[in-house]
This record gives sequence, C-alpha cells and structure tokens, in this order.
Amino acid sequence: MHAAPEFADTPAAPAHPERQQKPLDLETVAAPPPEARVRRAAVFAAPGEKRTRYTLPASLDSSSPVGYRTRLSMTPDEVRSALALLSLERPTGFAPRAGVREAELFEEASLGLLLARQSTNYRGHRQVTLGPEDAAAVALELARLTGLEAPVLGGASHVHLVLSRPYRTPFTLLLTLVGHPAIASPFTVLKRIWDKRVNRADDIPTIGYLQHLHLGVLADGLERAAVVASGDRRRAQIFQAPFCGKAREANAKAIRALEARCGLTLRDRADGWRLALVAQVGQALPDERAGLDAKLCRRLGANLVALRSERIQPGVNHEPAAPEQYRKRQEMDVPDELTTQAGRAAYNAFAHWTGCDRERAKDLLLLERIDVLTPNGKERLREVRDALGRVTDRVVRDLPLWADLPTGKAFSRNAERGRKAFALAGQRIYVAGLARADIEREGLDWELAVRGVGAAAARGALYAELCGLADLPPECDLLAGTCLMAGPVNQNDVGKTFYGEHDLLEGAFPGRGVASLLVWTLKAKTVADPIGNEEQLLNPARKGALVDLRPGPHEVIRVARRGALEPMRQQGGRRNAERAFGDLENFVTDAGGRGIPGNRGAPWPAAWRDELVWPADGSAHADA
Amino acid sequence: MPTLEFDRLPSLGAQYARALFTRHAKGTAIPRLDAVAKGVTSDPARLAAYRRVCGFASGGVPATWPQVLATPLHAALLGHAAFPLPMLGLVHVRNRIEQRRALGVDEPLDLHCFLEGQREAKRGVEFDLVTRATAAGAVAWEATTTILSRTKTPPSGPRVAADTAPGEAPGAARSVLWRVGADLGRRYAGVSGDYNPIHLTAATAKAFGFPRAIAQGAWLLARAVAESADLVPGDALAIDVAFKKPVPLPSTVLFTAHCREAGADFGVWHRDGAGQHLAGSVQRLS
Repeated sequence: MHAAPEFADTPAAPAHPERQQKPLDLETVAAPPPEARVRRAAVFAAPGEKRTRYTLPASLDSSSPVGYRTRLSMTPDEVRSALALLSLERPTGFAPRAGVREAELFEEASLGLLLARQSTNYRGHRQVTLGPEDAAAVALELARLTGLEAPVLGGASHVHLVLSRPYRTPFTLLLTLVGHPAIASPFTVLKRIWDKRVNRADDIPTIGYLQHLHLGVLADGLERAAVVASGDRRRAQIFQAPFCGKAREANAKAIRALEARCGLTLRDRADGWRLALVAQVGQALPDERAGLDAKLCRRLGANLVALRSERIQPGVNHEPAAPEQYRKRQEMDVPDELTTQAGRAAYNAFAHWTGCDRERAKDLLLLERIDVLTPNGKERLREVRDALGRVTDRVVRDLPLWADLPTGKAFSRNAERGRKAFALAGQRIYVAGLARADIEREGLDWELAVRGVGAAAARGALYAELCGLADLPPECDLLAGTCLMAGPVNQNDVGKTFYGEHDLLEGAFPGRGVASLLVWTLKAKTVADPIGNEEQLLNPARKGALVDLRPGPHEVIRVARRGALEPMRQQGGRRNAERAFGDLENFVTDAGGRGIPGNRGAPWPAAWRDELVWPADGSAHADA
Repeated sequence: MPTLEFDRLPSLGAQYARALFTRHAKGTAIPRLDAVAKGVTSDPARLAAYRRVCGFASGGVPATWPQVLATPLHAALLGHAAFPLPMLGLVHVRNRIEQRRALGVDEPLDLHCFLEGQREAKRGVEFDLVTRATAAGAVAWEATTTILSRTKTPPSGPRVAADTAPGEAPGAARSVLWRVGADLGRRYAGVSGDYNPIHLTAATAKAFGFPRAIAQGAWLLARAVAESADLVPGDALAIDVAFKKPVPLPSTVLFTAHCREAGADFGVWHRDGAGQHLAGSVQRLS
C-alpha cells in the first residue's frame, strides 16, 4: 500500500522510473601469495616504552560510535549484493509508517553525520532530527520550495535537517598569509582577515567549494545509512537543490522557517551555520528495497565504520622509521576493470545528485585517471608532484616574515608539512573537476554540481573499498583502500590564484576553464595505515593539527523528543559509549586478543535502545 | 541488646549528630544490634535523582537502592553507644546483594538491619552489616556489607603479581571509560545521605589523611551494577563486589565486564587497565 500523494506541485515521481544509474559489478583484488601478506603490527607499547603512531592506543575515551575497528571479510556474493547501494534510485513513495527504534536511529546517524568519511574530518555539520508529525509539516514546507530536484514524499517516519557551516580550519588560517606582496603584506593581510571575517570570503575558490564537497559526501552517505541501519526497510529522499545557489536566494524565507525548526540562534547564524540539506526517511516500498538481508546490512554497517583513509602505499611513501611491513613494496595492483567501475560509480553519483542525464554526466564530471604503474602514469604523477612542489616552495618563500618569525616559523613549518599531506600515492588516481561554463550551459547550479563531485568521489572510493573486502584473507587488513583528498587541489588552487599555475586538469581538458576539486587514490595493499592516523581523530591528546575529533551524537545531533530538541544519547546522566554495529565484534586487538581499554564501549541501555523514538501515533513534536 | 524500632526512617542528620556526641563503649567486641523500620517507601524524586547519578536506565528500583534507603538505620546502629568502633574510620570492603524479585517503586518495605560476624582480618577487625527488606511477608532483598575497622598495619610479604600487560583481558563484553567528576562525591551524597567528609572536597578529605576526595564505594558499586544491567537479564540476582582501591576525584576509570554462564564478572580499573578499584560479579539466582 502506498502513502497517498500529497504534494502535487512538487516534481512528479515517474510511475516506472527509468534507471538513471548503471549497476556495478564486483571486481576482486587478488590477494598476494601468503608469504607476501602483511598486517598492521597491533602491539601495545611495553610499560615504559615510548608510544608511537604504530603502537596501539593506551585507551579510548570517546562518545563517537566509530572507535578503532577492523574490516570484516565478505563473500563475493555479499559484496555483489552490497553494490546495489552504489546505484540506488530515489524512492517514489514511502510505505505506511512504522515506529523507529532508538537503536536504529543511532546507527543511521552513525553511518551518516557521525562517520565523516572525508580524509580530513571536519565538524562542519549538525543535524536536527524530527519525528513523524514534524516531518509532515516539514514536507509541506519543502513542497513550497522552488528548485526541488525530486518529489516531496508523504508518510516519512522522520526527517533530518542538516546544518552546515563554511570550511574553516588551521589550514585556512595559514592561507590568510599566502599570496601577499612583500612590502604591502601588513595591509593586504589585514584586508584579507577583514574580508574573511565580515564578508565570509575565501582565500582561494576551492576552500569555498569544500563545504559543498563535504555535503555531497554526506548526502551520499545518508542515503545508504537509511538502508543499512534499518536492515533494508527504509529509504531516504534527500533534497539539496533548494539550498544551493540561486534557488537558495529564492527560497530564503521558507528556509528561514525550516531553520527556526532547528533552533538556529543568531550566534549560530553569525558563525555561518545554515540549513544545507533535508533528508526525509520512511518505510521502503516493497519493490524499491535494495535486496539486502538484515544480516548482510549489519556486516556491511560494521565495515562502513571500519573504512579509513589509506594514505600509505607500502614501499612508496612510508616514513623512514616505519616498521618493516610498511617498507616493502607489495606486488599488487588495482585491476584496470575495478578502476573503470569506480569511475562508473562516480558518474552514477554525479547523475543521481545533479539530476542530469547519466551520459551527460560523463561530459560534465571531468575525470582524469592516472595509472601510476604505466610509463605515462609515472610521468604524469611526476608532473603533478612537481607542480605542487613548486607551489609549496613559493608559499614557504613568500610567507610574510613579520608573521612567521615571531611564531618561531610555525607557519612555514606547517606549509612544509603540506609536501607530505599532498603527496599522491597509489596505483590508480582520479582527479575530478568541473568546468563552470559547461555546468551553467547545462542549467545546473554550480554548488549542487560541486556537491555532486563530492558524492561522486565518495562513491567511487567506496566501490573500491567494498571490492577490497571480498574474500579478505585473515592475514590481511584489507586488499584495496582509498584516500580522498582535497589538499592537492587546494595547493594547486593556491598556485592558480597567486602564482600563475595551471589547473591540475588543464592538460586533460584544455581550454574549458576547468576547476579541479578532489583527488582520490586507489591502493591495492594488505597493511592498513598506522593506527596513529586514526588516533588523531579520536584522542584529544593526540589530535592532528588539521583534523577535528570524531564527534559523539550528543555533540552534533538533536532529536525532537518529549516536546524538546534533545541531544542524541545524552540521558539520565549518561552519554553514548556504544560503538555502532559493535555486535559484529570488529574491534582492534593485539595478537593475543587484548583490547584497547574503552574501545569496545558499552551498548546504550536496552530499555532506551529498544524504545520507539516517537509514539506510534506520531504525536511527538518539537518546540524549536 | 534491644532492637531499635522506628515507626518511620529516622533522620540521617540526627543519627550522625547522635553518633558524634555519644560516648561509645570501650574495646572491640561488637554486640548484636538490630534496627527495624516498617512500611518504608521510596521518595520517587530522590529515587530518580539516584538513578541519574548512578546511570540506571530502567524505571524500576535498582538492586542497590534498598541499601541506600536503609542508610539511616545503618547510622543508628554504627552510632549507637554500644557500638565500640569510631564510625569515621570504618572502611567498606565487600558487599553482597541478593535481590530475590523486582521491587516496586511504591512497594512498602520492612527494613531490618543488624550487625554480626565479627572476625579478625589482616588489617583489623571485620564485621557484617546485614540489611533485609521484607515485603508481603517474604524477604525480597538482602545485603551484607562487610566493614573493616583498621587496627593493624597490613603484614608485609610477597605481593601477588598483578596483570601488568597493557590492554585489557580478551573477550570483554563491556569496556568503557567513565569520567568521574570532582563533584561526584557531593552529588552522590545529595541522593544517598553519605556526607562523609572524605567524599566531599579535597580540603575535607585532606583533613582525614586523603590527598584528594574519593568516590563513595556505594556509588562505584551502583554505577557498575547499572553498567552491567543488560548483561544478566532477570529480576533475581546476586551481586558480589570487593572494593580494592579508592577512586580519587576527579578521575577517569575503566569499567570492563566479561560474561560467563548465568552471570558476568566486572571490574573497575585505572584508565589504562593497571590498578583495580573494584572487582565484582553479578549472577542470576535460580
């Protein structure tokens, strides 16, 4: 039984929608021979021994649902089933509403907002989740927006309103000092600070795009999260277009009304927080389910929280002091067909989120593929590295001494560190970008298209990661990994903006005015990155300079319950200590099975997990 | 010795004051002392505050609550003129709680407390403070609190080597860090009535020889029981704990639990797994 159509003015849902996206096939990565398989040495520092990024953390004190996790092997058939999530079409309606258990809502949030699958974790998102009654009111408000990319659906069980703010990190602080003439710099730096503070100007265009790239990554994750967390019983209908560019201006008043539901304060607004996307979640229509069984969804969820950015290619970009398993090059390659399919996944996502025809997406989403192990690929990679190195040299050389010297050259040291952060390593690399003129000619909104690139990169990367789980031998941490990076394109943009460099994609797409936006590297290897990289996201004492800590649900999500917007999982003197999909037991341990104290966490009390978040009659509602 | 009978629970403050100004019997021989209060009910607001401070999720009566309810009777016994040991120096070393069935929030309880089982221990004199809660004519709940009065320096000798390997023992069903705030002693005192100065502030604790305030053992026990609640489902439970080292305030401690047949073992440790504050178990009663 379908929910009655209530929103006649919104774009009509096609009765039998044509598949906009292409299904994906599994391409496995062959494991190396047993003697060449290496894993991360999971050892604790001995008492009195100095801890390093290669030793296990002493403990974990975090409300994040993620924790230190390991990948779980999946059968090829399981991965094939899971790939359905990489070509999901939009739902055309919701089935009659069913109650949402608190545990499911938590795991949906865990795979969505709390996971932050970007290589740079950035607390630029907050979420307000409303129950069915409010969801119905929000649906009416959504239906009044112009520029909707899909029909507003009736009968949602809940709705997520996602707020976002501009990308501002210590990296953008450093950028304030970049690109100034030597003599006038005291004045031009001050002017830049003023512009950034007052006019929300970005130092370089790609910094402004980062906010939207992250939103695209999140939208793609939220859509999957609804399916996986519910055991394939729910679907999400996500709206981004009305909150982008010109549509946003046209919808300003209605968006304000929606923001009021989120309890957005003047202070929040001054800090740049705005409503950026809305996700309706409801029961899937029987013929629109993804075809995943509940057990597979749990295994998949446990893997999704275990996937990490993999920056290190053994034997290529390891540290001099790295343990043996990182020093030896592994004779593995990312198969050519896997790389092609990863590109297909990216086009799927771009077409899905921008609404353009899939064949047209191939013209609009500009992808350069670098096959590093080929002679041409090696040469191209060298060119890219040299170009980025030149920019770093200029940045370090031109930093105003009056700012750098008093800080003990902290700024130039940070800039130097960029060489490592922007280093590209992997057997296959994709560089993605857009040409603004093409996007405008197509009638697409630029910001929406940028979000489409974020989603495309995340989905292409996820395809490779999922393939790397098929028949994963116990002696391997993974078979394929990815690293999604904006750093190289930001550095390139510094070169473009201040030093006359060409765009990274100019050679591949000459004369189109292309702007490169993201890079993702595909790596075949068996050893996961040092656990210290992950500790930077979970341990305040070892937090990385350019990352935010993974948040707990109470920090970034509020849920409308009992007549108020309550922080998620902050109740009765407790805060969340549950790791999502923890029943799958994929926690990092040492070889003897000894765990990291605090890593396993503790499930939220059963009495609260099993509660329906909103009464079955849908009577809950939020007072913003 | 006569039984102290109360029509309703006596005021805890009055019991403390009485203990302060009472001239206690000499020696170390603890007489049999009984205290009884009938038809005792819980104040729902206080019970809710107790649940919040200790982290209990469900809306029922926590297995550790009747012991808190009976605190004024405990004070009456330990402050009685016939009780020979100074109340302030007593150390809570072990606790056994048997909950035979779930107790209702509104259910009136007949509480009966008594002292027994005096014995010599390594570090002094130990005795048991037994608390029984009877409802509808049957004992529904019983706790034995073992208390030590330090009279001796612990004997020196080879210590049993602790598990010093880093990390936690394999197979944990729970492993979670608790941040125990500096105000915990005061918050717990507010709901339990345990205003022992060693729990309240660093300054009051220093006056009694502690460098920092320490958490109430009864709180640590309740918090551990709350965290273990879903591991051993059922209403009939036996809980055993031994208090090892006090938890200084503020601090971060590690709680771990391992399941076993019909029950679970749990412990509260220093945050990196070294040094234990509490060892315990919860077992389903047949």
